Amino acid sequence: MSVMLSRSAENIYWMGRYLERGGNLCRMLLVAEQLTVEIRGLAPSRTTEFWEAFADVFPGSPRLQESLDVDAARMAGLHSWLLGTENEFSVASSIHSARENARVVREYLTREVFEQINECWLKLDASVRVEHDPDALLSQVQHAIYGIGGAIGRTFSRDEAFGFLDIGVMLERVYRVLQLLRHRLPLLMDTPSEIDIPVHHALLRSALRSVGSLENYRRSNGAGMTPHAVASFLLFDTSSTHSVAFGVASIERSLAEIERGGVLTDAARKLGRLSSQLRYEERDLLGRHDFAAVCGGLAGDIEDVHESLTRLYFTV
Amino acid sequence: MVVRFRQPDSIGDMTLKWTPAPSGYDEALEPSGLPRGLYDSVVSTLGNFDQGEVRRREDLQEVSLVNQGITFTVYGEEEGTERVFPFDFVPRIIGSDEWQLLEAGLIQRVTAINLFLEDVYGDQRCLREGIIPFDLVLSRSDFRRELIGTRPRHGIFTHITGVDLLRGESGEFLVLEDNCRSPSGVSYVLENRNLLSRVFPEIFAKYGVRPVDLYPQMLLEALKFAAPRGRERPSVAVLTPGLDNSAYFEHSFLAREMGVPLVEGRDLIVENDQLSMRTTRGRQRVDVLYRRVDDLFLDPVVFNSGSLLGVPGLIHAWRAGNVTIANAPGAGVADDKSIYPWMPDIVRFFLDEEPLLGQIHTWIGRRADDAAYIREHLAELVVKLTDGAGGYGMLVGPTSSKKEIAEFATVFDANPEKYIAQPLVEFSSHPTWTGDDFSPRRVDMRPYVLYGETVKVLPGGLTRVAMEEGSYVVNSSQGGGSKDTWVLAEELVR
Repeated sequence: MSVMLSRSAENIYWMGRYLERGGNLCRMLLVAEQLTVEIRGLAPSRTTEFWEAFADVFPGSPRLQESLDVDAARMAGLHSWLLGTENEFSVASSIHSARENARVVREYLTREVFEQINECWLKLDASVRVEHDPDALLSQVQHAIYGIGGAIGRTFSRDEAFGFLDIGVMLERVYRVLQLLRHRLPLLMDTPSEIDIPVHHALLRSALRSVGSLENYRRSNGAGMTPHAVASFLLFDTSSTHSVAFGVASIERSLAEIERGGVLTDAARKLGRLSSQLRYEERDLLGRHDFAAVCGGLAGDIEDVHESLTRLYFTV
Repeated sequence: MVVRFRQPDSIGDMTLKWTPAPSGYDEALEPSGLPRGLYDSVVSTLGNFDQGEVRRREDLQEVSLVNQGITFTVYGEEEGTERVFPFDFVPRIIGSDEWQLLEAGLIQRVTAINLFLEDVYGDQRCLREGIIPFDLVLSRSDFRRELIGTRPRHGIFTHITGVDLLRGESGEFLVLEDNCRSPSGVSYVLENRNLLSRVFPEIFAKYGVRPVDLYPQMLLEALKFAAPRGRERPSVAVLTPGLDNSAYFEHSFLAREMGVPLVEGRDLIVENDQLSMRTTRGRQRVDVLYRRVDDLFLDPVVFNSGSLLGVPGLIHAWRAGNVTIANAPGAGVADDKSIYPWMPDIVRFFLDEEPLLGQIHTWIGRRADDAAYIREHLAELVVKLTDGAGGYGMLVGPTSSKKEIAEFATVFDANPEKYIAQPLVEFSSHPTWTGDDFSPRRVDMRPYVLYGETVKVLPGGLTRVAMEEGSYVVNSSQGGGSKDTWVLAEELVR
């Protein structure tokens, strides 16, 4: 198919975003489960806050009721973020939306990709009606999402549709990493007291694991872990698939493929600026007093890229 | 008589029961219960399975359909209810000799239908010469006065026609109705074959089954042939009402299989009498629109002004010859159930030939005598809306209660002209897996006829099956299922 409908491009882009969102959430929930086991005895209030802080990473999502105890916060968090249909950002809502988008662009997808997405949704949909073990379900869904990624990687043509899919995936990823850094890292910037050190490290580890980057970080930086090093890695590392710099470069590449050397578009210009900033202003960005504002500003830039893409390609 | 096939000891010692139809023609079994010649191998192969194995494969079949999203949306239930179209794995087999006769009859009928349509929107010779009543044609809800004087490219109105057939009591094929607007179901023909060959590969072993997977290529060729003059590399798109339409899967399937975009009305725009689609590279011209949207929703300027499914200006662009709409607007008048009784006369008038395919006697509600007859014999007749489809708004007298008949009589009396009636044809049955054994279930068949440079028939078709014992209703919307339909290249190749 040589032409791509604007509406289809938008559907594929959002399919990518929802798939990435569902996968990210599965991982974040599994990390939250493990962290709960690890630190609830040491720092119950930090554990509860961790569950409550999901809403920060997904602005606009419903917040948990405050002052819950650990078990109540965990149950409410799992209920809302795994299968919660009232939460448009939940795993179930994300995969449902990915599947609805996939249904309207089946002519651009391979049979394998559609089937993997459909099966993943059917698994979740069936779980709503039966009692389930949340951790087992999360693992199953996470594997199913990896299966979708595998089907995409192995069967999808590297054409315009793939470009929009990849942009959707990467834009969602970068945006959530920035939100996570913005809301979780500043709390860890202060030097911890002796007693807090295990909790502090557990939270830093969780931040890295939440974005699938713990092993990559260790390969790059060794076992030593400071908030500054974690922030630097997640923002500027150019080879780790979940860093902001990697994601922005990937979006730039996909967009260049789509634009095929045409006139420099607004989206490309914004991405170029962002890319330069990440490449040349590392020290300046990390040295600023208000790290949350830095991440907020970068997330705002990503929102602008989304708006530009929408104007440029999805509303012709 | 019940025939039991003993299976090899290595598989088990259970037997599967095959029961021939108690009345009407049985497609696969002789009245004695022995398989008809073409079915010998299928029956003996399936005889090698025990219930457990058949059920296992049936489950596999079901999972495969669900996972692939081969579903249709059911109206009138909870919004967005997707349902799998039940598939029965016992194939229906048609021999090559019989198919040749059928194919010739279908080509003849579709050729005549197109000449009729060209005439009623053109010279109206068949009306003026009294072959078919003037007022009958002009009063049909699918006759589009706005289109009089319009001749589509090559005079083709029905690029795709689905002709519904039944086998009568002696086994002869009869036309039940023609579908000239946007006949659906062909995606299931292809998917059924795909599924059967994966789940029950053994039963293909001794047959030379003609492939059906050429359909997308045949369809694309037919559509491109109809492109506006001067368009050497025409662009084709499939127009769907959207995800909520019951046949959305099929729309998406056909677009995917042909490698063309699936568009909705909001993706299209008409400027300077040319149709374009909104793409990531700006507006791109569309030459042929395979529409799966009803006439009245195609263009709010000409038809239903509230329609959001169509494109303002589309009909004007079509009349200007800048875009081909397949099937052409107005084609539905040919499949109106009131026109059907005249179809043999239409064949004779336009082709000067005797019809090769028979059809069912029909009483027409708009004739006072016929209406009176229908009213008196409701309990014996099948009464249908002339512009209805999907089994909605119909009465199957012989299987209805007195209360249902009385209620229908009131509706009929209010507008008898909206109905036709036919005798209940004891149409053929086919062995169908019920979960325990193979029992007779009634079947019809819809072959697909494509009108491009020549008229071609897909060697196969959608066999719909009434899944309930004794039922005459095969419609998917009312619980019907489907079967793979085999047309043999030769009777038996091995």
